[in-house]
Amino acid sequence: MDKRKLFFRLAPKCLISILAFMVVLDLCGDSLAASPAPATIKLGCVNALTGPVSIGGSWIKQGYDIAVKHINADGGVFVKEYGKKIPIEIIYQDNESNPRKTAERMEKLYSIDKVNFFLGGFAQFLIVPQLAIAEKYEVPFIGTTLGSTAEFSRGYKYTFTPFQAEQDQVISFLDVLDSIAKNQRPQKIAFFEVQEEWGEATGKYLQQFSKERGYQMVTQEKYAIASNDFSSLIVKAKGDGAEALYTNPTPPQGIRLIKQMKELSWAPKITLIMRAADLEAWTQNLGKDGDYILHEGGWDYHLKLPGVQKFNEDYRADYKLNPTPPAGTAYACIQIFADAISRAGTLDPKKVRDAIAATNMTTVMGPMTFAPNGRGQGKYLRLMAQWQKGKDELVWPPDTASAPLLFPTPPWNER
Amino acid sequence: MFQTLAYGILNGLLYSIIALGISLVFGVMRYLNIAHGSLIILGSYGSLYLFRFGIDPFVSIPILMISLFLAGIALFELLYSNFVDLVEGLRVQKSLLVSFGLMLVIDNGATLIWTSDEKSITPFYSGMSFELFKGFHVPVIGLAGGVLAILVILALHLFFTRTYFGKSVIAVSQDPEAASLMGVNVKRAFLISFGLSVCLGAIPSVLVGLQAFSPSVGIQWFNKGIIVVMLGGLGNIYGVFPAGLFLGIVEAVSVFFFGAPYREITGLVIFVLVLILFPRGLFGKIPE
Amino acid sequence: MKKLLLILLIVFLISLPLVVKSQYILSLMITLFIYVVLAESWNLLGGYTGQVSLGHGAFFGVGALVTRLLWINKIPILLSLPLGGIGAALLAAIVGIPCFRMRSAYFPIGTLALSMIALLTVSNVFISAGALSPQLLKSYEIFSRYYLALFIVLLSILTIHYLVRSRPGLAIVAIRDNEKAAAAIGIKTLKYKTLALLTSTFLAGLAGGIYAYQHVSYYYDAPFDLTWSFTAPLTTFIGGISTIAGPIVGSLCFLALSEIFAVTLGQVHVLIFGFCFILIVLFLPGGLLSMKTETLKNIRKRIEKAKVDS
Repeated sequence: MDKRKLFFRLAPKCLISILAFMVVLDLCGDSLAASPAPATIKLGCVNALTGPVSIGGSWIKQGYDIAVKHINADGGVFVKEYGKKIPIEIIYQDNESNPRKTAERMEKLYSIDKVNFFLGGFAQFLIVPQLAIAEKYEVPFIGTTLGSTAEFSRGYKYTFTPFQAEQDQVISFLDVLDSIAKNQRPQKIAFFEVQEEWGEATGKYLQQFSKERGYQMVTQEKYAIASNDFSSLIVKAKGDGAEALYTNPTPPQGIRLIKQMKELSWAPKITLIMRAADLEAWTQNLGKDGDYILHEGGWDYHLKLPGVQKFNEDYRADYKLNPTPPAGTAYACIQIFADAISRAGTLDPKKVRDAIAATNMTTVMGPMTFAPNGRGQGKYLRLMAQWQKGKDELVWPPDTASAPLLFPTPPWNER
Repeated sequence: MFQTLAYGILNGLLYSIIALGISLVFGVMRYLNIAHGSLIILGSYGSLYLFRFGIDPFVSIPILMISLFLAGIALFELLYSNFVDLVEGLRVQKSLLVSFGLMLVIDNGATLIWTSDEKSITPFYSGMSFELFKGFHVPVIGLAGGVLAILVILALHLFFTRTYFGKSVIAVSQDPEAASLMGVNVKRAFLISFGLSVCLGAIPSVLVGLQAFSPSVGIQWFNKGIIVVMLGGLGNIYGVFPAGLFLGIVEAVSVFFFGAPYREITGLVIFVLVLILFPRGLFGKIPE
Repeated sequence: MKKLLLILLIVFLISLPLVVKSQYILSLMITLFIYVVLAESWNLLGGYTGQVSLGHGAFFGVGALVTRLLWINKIPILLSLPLGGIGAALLAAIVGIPCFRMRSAYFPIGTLALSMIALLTVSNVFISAGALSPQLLKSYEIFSRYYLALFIVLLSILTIHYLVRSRPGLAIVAIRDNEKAAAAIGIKTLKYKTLALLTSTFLAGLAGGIYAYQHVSYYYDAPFDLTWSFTAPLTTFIGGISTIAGPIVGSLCFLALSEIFAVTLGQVHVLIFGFCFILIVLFLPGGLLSMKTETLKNIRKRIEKAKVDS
């Protein structure tokens, strides 16, 4: 048969079947929400399952999964409206580490999977686009590693995060500095500002708070997220006589920074490298060159808080590594949801939202409440860890520390 | 100022070597291999494994060169030999598409096997530098890389001018039909050239490995390489050397005028300006 | 027969939101429309005029940026959108026209560099995300956006269709086929290349504007991402270059395939997508549209040839 005729005969059939498929998909979606007591409480999570930050995505997923395992072991969350315990189910969608794909996948979770609530995935730049969508649909959202205060100043009502704010991070650093004996204390701080939201905000707070406490920010130099040459910044900081360094590089930049600091013989007395130094890989990649570096990711498995030990044991059993900071934050998010749902007694989004706002409980991150803008508040949101001889130790606050702070950092040729 | 310049020069030499591989393939067979960066990263993983077995990264270069050469030949046979007979314009397009798919496969395959975690090779001499005078350090690794780059370019020059095969490759790049009339096995020349181009990636593999790498960064190195290829003039293999240095120095100097965040942008802007003002590239030889 | 199919398709698209209420599907359709407009606009410059641009992301991004900034500052979308297109065309006039001075082999990489410059600049200047205020969120609804996007798609396709068949269109195609010969017979090549460029970038800017209107929250550098620069030529090549239907078919398959894989396959989805992509490129050289004239026999022949050669 003539090929052109064949094509034209097939095409309308294809079109009609596509239309039918979509109608069916839509109807299926409807029917799932029709039954009275749902089989599971559905939490939708758009996470980085593939792509450049998928390693962080896996930590978040691990934290969530263990939390859900613990809660479902008991039968689930008791929902008064249905008079029974309902287990939690998390439906994951991949955003390929790409903030552009986040919106589509969230729409799918909402329209097709009909999730009840939203969970955040990994990395601030990937979570931020999700906040507005949750607000649009008026569905409660609890996100993980969101430090930004600006993103919680838009007047949104449905978004929450138990994670520390940028201010908490800066305050932790300055608290650690304050704890050093006056005659040894570094006075001059260098800040390398990464050109993204987080970097800019940190710079702003560091400038303000350090001045209030009598420190001097002698160097504030910017660098792009794409760049990997820090020589000009290091030379400047050295020239300004900086004794302390604070910066938030991406993992490859962190490694490059340390190597160049060594090449240029610069070892400030105390160095805080956020994000890049959080990974286990930090010490695998750098060996002893990575020692003495401070870092913190909002939570630490050394914290002596209720629930942490059980979490650590199960995590190590399942995944063969120590729980990372994002995993702990993720676990807490599930705890908060479970607690809020049982207090609300229903799965109604508005009532659960109000219940979350009124949270006052102890999570693996410590005691937790929420400010009116949705940001978490808690004593143990300010902490600091340090790499010592290839091991990660918690050095602040002193009442939960696993090892004392190593100060000052010896120069490179003395190690 | 001089410190940053030093780093700029060493970076520039790294860019040159990456560009060399891309330029070789493009010059000889008019293929654009976007996956070149990803192949370099594969080499970096190879170097990492060899390092874990105690083999120093620089020592691993010959091993990597052989492996990458074989990989290059295999890839050519599998993917690129299909459209050797196409018209030149179509060849660029086709090879672009195929190498895009290849890049997706390599990058995501690598992520599945090794996770997207950053990796870095840190031998005992990492971070060491020669302090030539107060405040001016020349990093050992960077210097070694630069020296290697120069040696490779010299070796390639000898290859192209002194060996029969090298001369036949040049002939093929100038006019495949004439070359085949003179008895050159064009298909074999393409095959070996492609393998050679991937094999040249072994040196950047090790240098990048000594910095930091992860599965997704291949394309960033390719971008630098292609800019250098263009600056040096498409089809001009020797042009990549000065062009690479040019880019490295421009980036370093720009830090002092515009600040560090605009380092990459300045390089790109200069690149575009050069192409507009010097349509053949800085040292271009290829005719319209 | 062809006309009937076309009418059926348009009726189908117009009536879709009335039948399918799912926000997800409608949002996906809008994304498809954006892909189609971007690909068609690229094809005008690349397929019909022979100027392969790898920098359309910059124009898409500028369109999105201008539209977004105007719209959240209370300028109605029906005004912000065309202004976005004009903004993109303006950028093209300033930086794109000088690029015509480059050798034809350099134009793709030169435009790619432009795209990178735009991305890096916007990332450094606009650091925070642009999220809608609670008021704008409350007034968000998908139907008007769908129809606006559909209108822009039809508008672009009609524009290109008539442009290609007009006298300037003849000149444009002549330039693609052999620029020197065209100049030799008196065609003012720069004038027509500029016409193609400005039209192409205007449409790309409109596509960007739709993006800005559709998404509630995104980082300002998201529409400048290099993947937009690559997706336009990729989908067009796959679908069939220099045709009107090519970009449509290519975009549909590209988007459908990557979305279905993403939603169903889990961690390996991009890997599998890459494999499928390579297979399509190797065994369907004319693009998907050529499937009309290709038969299974031809494809089998090509596979055999590939086996014999190696």
